[in-house]
Amino acid sequence: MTKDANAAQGGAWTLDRLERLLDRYGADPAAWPASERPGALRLAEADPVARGLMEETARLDVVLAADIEPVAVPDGLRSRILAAAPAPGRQRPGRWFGLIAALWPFEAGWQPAMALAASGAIGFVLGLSGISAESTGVSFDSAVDSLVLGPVVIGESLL
Amino acid sequence: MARVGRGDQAACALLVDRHLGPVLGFCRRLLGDPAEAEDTAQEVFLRLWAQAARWRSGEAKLRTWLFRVGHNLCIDKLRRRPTMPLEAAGDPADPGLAAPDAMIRDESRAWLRRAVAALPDRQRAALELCHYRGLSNAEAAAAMEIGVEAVESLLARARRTLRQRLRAEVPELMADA
Repeated sequence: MTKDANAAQGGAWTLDRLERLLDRYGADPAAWPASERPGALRLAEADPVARGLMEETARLDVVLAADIEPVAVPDGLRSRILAAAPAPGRQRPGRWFGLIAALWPFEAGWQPAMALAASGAIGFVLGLSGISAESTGVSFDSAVDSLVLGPVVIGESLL
Repeated sequence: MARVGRGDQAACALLVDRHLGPVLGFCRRLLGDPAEAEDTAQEVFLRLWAQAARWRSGEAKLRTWLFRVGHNLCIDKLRRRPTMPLEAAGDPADPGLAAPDAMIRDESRAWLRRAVAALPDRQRAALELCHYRGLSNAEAAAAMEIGVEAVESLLARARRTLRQRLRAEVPELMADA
């Protein structure tokens, strides 16, 4: 329930409403919404059960507060993190490298990029020939050879 | 963050010294496994380093961003875990002390940590962020990617459960606290 919602409930103070307030804000009246304070304190003064709820909540607050302490960080963890920190000499990834890294987070991004480029080039060469590899009996290997070693003459076709 | 993005080692160290402890404590409380919490906290900072050069000031508050990434990683890990009965889970990790032989120092703390560990994940996350890490409800809402109202509701349910368990299980603590 928000502060506004609580305030909208007007003056009807019940144990349920006090309990909700205490669960939400704790037992310190200073932490309560100002609009809630007078009614809640009046109920706590008048009703022993309400007073008991406040005392219970105050004790929980104390137990919770006693558990707050700084966290000890293992030296090895700090060192490992700092060893991976950005260094002045390291090239910052550009937009395209960042995109490749996002799409291929497993290892160096140049490997899938080169594989993609090679398959594109093979497709381009085969496409330029205007005929399929199957119809000419040109194998995948020879198509790769044509990329690496230059054009290969097969019959009248120049691949 | 601009200095971190430029590879300023002093800035990186300052940032780690300021934020690693709270992030690690948060992960420990959520995961209950010190080793897994360390791995997760490390992953949070590795993601920060990867992001540092492209960080735009004002886009997100750094502390909130760190807890948001940490929260998402922890929730992913918790979802992948096989469910087990509560009794089999054992005592939660001590979020304040790293050494395995560090003992919980008093009865109320031991009880509280067991009780907090038994809370539902989201209630535990909200309590950890707001109570233990000092985030405002709005910051916790941003970190958990939910509304402020939802955070307040989670906190209230967590506190009510703890209060009722405290009364039922360790009434002497209620008297001594």
